Amino acid sequence: MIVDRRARAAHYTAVIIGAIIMAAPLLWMVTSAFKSPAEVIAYPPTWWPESLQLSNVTAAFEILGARAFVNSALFAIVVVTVQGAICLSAGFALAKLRFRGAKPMFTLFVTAMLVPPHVMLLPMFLVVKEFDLLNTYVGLMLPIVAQTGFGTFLFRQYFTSLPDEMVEAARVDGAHWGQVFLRIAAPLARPAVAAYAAISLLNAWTMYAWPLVAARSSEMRVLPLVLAPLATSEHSITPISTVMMAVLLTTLPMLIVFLAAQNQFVKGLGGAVKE
Amino acid sequence: MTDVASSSRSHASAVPAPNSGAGHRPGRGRPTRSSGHRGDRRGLWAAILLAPNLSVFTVFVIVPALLAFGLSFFEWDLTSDAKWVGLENYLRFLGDERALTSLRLTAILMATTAIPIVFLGFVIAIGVNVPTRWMRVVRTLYFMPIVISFVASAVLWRFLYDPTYGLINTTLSLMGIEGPEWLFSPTWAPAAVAIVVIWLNIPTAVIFYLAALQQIPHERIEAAHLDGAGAWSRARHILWPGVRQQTFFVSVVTTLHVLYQTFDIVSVMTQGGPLRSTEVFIYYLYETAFRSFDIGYASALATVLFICIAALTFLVYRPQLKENE
Repeated sequence: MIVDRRARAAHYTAVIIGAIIMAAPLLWMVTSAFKSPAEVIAYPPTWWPESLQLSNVTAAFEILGARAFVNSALFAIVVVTVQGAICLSAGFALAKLRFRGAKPMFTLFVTAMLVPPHVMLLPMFLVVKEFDLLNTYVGLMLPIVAQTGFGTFLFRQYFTSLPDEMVEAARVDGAHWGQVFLRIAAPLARPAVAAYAAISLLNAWTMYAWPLVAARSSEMRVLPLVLAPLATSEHSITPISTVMMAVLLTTLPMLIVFLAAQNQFVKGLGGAVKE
Repeated sequence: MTDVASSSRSHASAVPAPNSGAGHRPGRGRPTRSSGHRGDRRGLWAAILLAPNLSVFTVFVIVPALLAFGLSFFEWDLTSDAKWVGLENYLRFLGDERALTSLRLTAILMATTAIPIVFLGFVIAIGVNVPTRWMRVVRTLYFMPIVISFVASAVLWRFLYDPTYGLINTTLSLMGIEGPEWLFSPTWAPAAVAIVVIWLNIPTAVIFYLAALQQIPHERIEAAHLDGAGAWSRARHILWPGVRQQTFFVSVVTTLHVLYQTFDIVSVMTQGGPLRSTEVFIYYLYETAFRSFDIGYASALATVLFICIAALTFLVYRPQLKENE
């Protein structure tokens, strides 16, 4: 596309400078996480830690607590698997079973997908409170599992794009719809499932507002909840380097998942608006 | 990004029970030999496959949506009995300077972040749309902000913005510029929030645009190039019109995301301050609901916001949905 040498050099330089600016906050986070409390606020700032302060890891882990890691992992895994399963089956039914009412029902899920979660914070809280499920795992997870708009939309679109002949062939062979779903449709949906899993895993891991109102007792807290107070001035006794290590530790699992499955993320983020 | 949701009541009532209307209507274009109806039981299977989803969806999405609407006509503090007040909560909103200011701030943040996100997303996508291996590495650098949570990025940026130790002001001072007070200044704090939002959303925009750019036929770009069109002219006359639909989606998705991303960011980074200069509507809504426990009024605020969003998305999405059918 770009033949001219100088144009190419200018293009590449601009792209790299842009990348450095975009990544700078995260690079700063990583280097600061390994600096000493004094070095992190030194002027002029140092590019690289003078010596790697590995004690920051234990200090940060103590602030976050093992319990929060376990809670976050449990929350993410349960939400992704349970929500994924019920969205997959519903998406299949809406795409291939052609029953009356499928269209308005699909519209309902799409509408639900477009409404920002925080509008529903208070009424969801009241429902969970009514069931006496505040500060319990069920109360934390089930209302989020129930947010099936995006998943149902994604899978319905995917199944719609599959040719009808694939299911019809199995139907002719005498399989009932449940078998068609489990044996043929679900395995074919692998790429959509991967994209969905990447996005909802990220969503669950980073979720803040709902856990903030539904499960704020100390043993129920997820990572974003223990991380958030570190930004406030009451926590100014904690060295910035330790805070950055805490940010790094909570981000690391998603960073690893992202680097391992970048294509799934890209497809999931772009897939929501396929067509 | 999150898919938590609500539903409009008109839609809720339009949905039949999963098994009620499930007739044996043969699908369009289906081969006739397979539409043997007896033993098909598609109504039953539709019900089975949809039941788990619809039951939790009803309890935790539809019911809360109706509940919020209903409670907006009451005065309630969670402890004493709820008192019917009619439209009083809505009238109160119209005269509530704090609510209106926060609504205005939200609208301004949506507009001022969406434009740079669309523009930078498009430009970066063109820049990194080169199929070499090391460009894939560079692309990954641009995608990085995807992995960080809004809370974590708020904690991180809170220190980047620090007037004395922060990376931003130390970099500026190395260039001989004295940086602003950022989060401590009512003038700069909203801009600081906007910058974080832009940074967080650029990767998604780049992803959308990359996918779109790769669908533009290569011959058209090649032909324009042979006709002597420069880089600018190619971008302006071929690429930009070629990604029109993505621009539409990026703007809609971004503006919706900004609504709730700003809540996470503001509540961690500024708590709405200084002097309420970063108090976005959802933060005010949260304060009303969970600090003042003014449940009825908070429900009215939520309903107002829901109506705004519903109207906006309906207007914007209607032609799109029609097109896709």
